[in-house]
Order: sequence, then structure tokens, then C-alpha cells
Amino acid sequence: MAKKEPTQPKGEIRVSSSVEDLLASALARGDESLETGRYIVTFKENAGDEALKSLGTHGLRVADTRDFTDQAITLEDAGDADLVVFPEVGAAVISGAALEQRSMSVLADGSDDSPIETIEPEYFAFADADAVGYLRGFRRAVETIAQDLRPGEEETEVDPAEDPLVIGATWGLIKCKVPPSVRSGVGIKVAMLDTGFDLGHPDFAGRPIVGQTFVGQPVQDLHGHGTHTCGTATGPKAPAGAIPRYGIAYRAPIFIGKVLNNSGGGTTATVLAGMNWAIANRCPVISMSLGAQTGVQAAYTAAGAAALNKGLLIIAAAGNSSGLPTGAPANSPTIMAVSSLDPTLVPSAFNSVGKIEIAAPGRDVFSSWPRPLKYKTISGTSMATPHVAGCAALWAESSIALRGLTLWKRLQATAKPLPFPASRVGRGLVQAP
Amino acid sequence: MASKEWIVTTSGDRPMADVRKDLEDAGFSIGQVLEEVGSITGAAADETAKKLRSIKGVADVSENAPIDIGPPGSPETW
Repeated sequence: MAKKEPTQPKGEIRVSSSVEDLLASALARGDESLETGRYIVTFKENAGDEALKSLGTHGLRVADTRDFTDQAITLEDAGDADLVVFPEVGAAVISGAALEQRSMSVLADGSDDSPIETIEPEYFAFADADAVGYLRGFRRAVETIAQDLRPGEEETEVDPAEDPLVIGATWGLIKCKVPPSVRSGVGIKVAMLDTGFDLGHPDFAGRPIVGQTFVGQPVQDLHGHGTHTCGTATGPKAPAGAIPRYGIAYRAPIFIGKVLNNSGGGTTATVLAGMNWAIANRCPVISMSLGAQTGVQAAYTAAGAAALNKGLLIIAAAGNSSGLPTGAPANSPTIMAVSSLDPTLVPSAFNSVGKIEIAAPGRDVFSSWPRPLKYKTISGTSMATPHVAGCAALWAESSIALRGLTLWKRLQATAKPLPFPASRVGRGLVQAP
Repeated sequence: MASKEWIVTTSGDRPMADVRKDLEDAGFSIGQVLEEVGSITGAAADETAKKLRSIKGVADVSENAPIDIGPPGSPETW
């Protein structure tokens, strides 16, 4: 992460500092604790005057709200005061510098004769629950402004993967609790077996991508399906422009196995070849948004078992056959089957049913699409599956013990239960760690 | 008889190279040997394929089935 020189030394935090100054100072400190650098002194009951005397003996410049009309003081009005007293609430605000210079923490030593109850840090309050995100956004804005004020200097390098300004997220990511997760999928290889990928998509510039075709066509995706599913599982944290976050494991190395051609066709053999490749590359998460309306295929079951034995997990779409049984490969007992949810968290009407392990957002899913369109919103259990794959990568990153069957069980154990039969939603809605 | 494509799933209790040799000897035209997943793809007539099931180390022989998620722009894929 790029560090900026502090624009305001810590000692210059005043009681009268504006919220913007306090934020800038907090950001310069690299402090995401949400502390402002000021402190709240709480007086013991009916000890306000005594406390004021006590504070006065420490040479503090005190501003008392009783000196202002209707006690309507804003802290910015406090000038160079070290302390602003709010007698009605039995408290005062003090700058961190004043507190430190005068060793005032001894005043709140808990002794019976001290007029001061506590001295606690003051915290920023935001209307938005995502306060840390706000701070990051604010920092980005401050850095941009500072950059503009210093022409001729080199641009500050800010790693977008480290410190993005996230403009919202898709409904699916929000329901899966992806945005608050601290995980990125870093180091967890995610294999996407599909129609390939738009290797020149701007949202994936600089990402490690390994591609292999099994259908005799270049990996480059001329269909779109593969680019869409890959976007959900591994897309960026902060896409360029006013695009919401749509990708989950944004730092995962990507393995693209093109097992379906540009017309969307393949065979059991092309899919098995892709699975074989993903397993040989030891991808802990293998996502398959494909299938056929057949019974259990022994070859897929064996492939799923081989993956689990090596600590890898294969996740597959149940199918969009509207009430017909889960198709292959998702119907194999060694492969995790995913059904789709609508934004209201009811199972999508198009879902296949029966053997379902877990559910995920699959209706109206916004994700990447081959250029020139770049983005598209489509539906299906195909779209639900990469939500599970992406979350699986986050879980796998969180502990090396979460691999294969253990990862499978953790995904199920942490899923949000839904009031529908397991044959439609499995153990419920997948959740990020 | 027309040749079809098949997926042979091995049981894992014999080296795949040995199974492959027996399949070839039985008239199976080997396509790919997929070591990691334990499958061998190839082509054979129906009658030949039936015989492959009795080879030691073969768990299953199934026809290679098409998968189709639909053309680009399909309202419904898989």
C-alpha cells in the first residue's frame, strides 16, 4: 500500500479540528481504528465543577459551552482551546496532544477522590455502516486532491488490489456477505471449466491466468458464459468506472479450462479432460457451470473422489431443468451441487431439484462478458455455482485445513439456513468467511 | 458396426497402464488416458465396448455424452 507523508502531525489535532482534518490525520497515521485522536472525558456525577477545577490546574485552555448562546457550540468554534466542556452531559472533549502533554490519564486512575470517571477515545461516527470503506474512500479522495495540488510529481502508486475504492457490490455478493470479508482468495488456485475466457478483459489486466483448451479452439471466449462465471468467482474488488463489485476471490490465480466450445458444446470426455487438468494443477477449487440431464456418471464420481482425495473440491451447477432431477456431473456424490436463488432468497423457478448441497445467487447476476460488451446480467444455476466457488476460495485462504471434504463441510456448516427443503436449497445460502 | 466414443472409468486397483493395455488388446482405440481422474477415453463398436466391462480394473464403460449449455445469448444456459 502506498504511504503518504502525514499532512497534519498528530500533535496538531485540536479540539477545534474539523471532522475532515481529523479524518485526514487519522488516514495519515494509517489508523483504521476509527479513533479521531481526541478523547472524551466523562465526569463523575455532580463532579463537573470539581473536574473543571482539576483540569484548570493542569493549565488547559477551557472552552465552556455555557459561554456560547444557548450552549450552541460547534467544536470548530473552540479556537485554540484544549478542552471543550459540556456541563449538561457531564463530559468534555480534549485533544490527544493535551492529554499526552499533561499526563492526564492519571486523572482517571479510578481512585475515589478523582472527579473524572473515564477518559476514552472519541470515535468517528458514520451514517453508513461501512465506516472503514468510507475511510478508504476518503483517503483516496484526499490523495487525489493532494496529487492535483502537486503537479510534476510522480503519480502515487496505489495497488488497486490492496486499496480499492469499492463502488457498491452486486446483490449476490452482498447476500453472500462477500464485501465485509477480509479474504481475497490470494494463493488459492481457482479452476473454471467452461467456454473459456476473454483474456483481454480490462478488469483482469495483470491477473495471473493460466489457460488450456480441450475443445480444439483457442481459450479466448467467443461465447460469453465462461467469462461471466469466471467474473463472479474471481473478478476484481474494484472494477474501473462506476461498475459495482461483482467478483469474489479477487486475488486468486485463475485456471481457465475451455471444455465447452464457442457454441456452448462439449462432451463428457472434454469435461473429464478439463477436470484431469485442474486436478493435476492442484486447484483447491474447481467450478463447473455445466452439465447434462443424465443419471449419475461413474467417471464424474471417480473424478470427484480423486479431487477430494487430493484436497480439492469440485463444485457444479445442478441445472435449469425446472423441477427435473439434478443433472450430471452435479448429481455425483463426490461433487457439490449448487441451486440458484432469486434476490428475495427464494429458490429460482428454473432450478433442477433433488441432490442439492448448497444454494447461491443465480437470478439476474451481473458479471463480466467478452468485449466489447464487457458486462452482462444473466440467470441460471451456472451463475450460482461461481458464487460458491468464490466463497470456497475465501474459506480455503482462511485455513490450510479447509480443503476437499473439510472445505465442503465448512461451506455447508456456515451457509445461511433458508425455509425451503434441502432438495431445493441444500443447507442454504453460501456465506463468505 | 459403427464405432462410438466411450469413457472407461477405472477402479483404481490396477495400474492404469495395465488396464490400458488390456483395453487395447480387446480392440479399444485409445483416445486419452486421464491419470488424475482415472478415466480412459476412446472408441469402439458396441459389441467391443460390452466386453471391456469384464476387464479387471474397469469399473464402468459409458458412452461419451454430449453437453450443451446452448449458444451465445441463450436466455437459459445450464
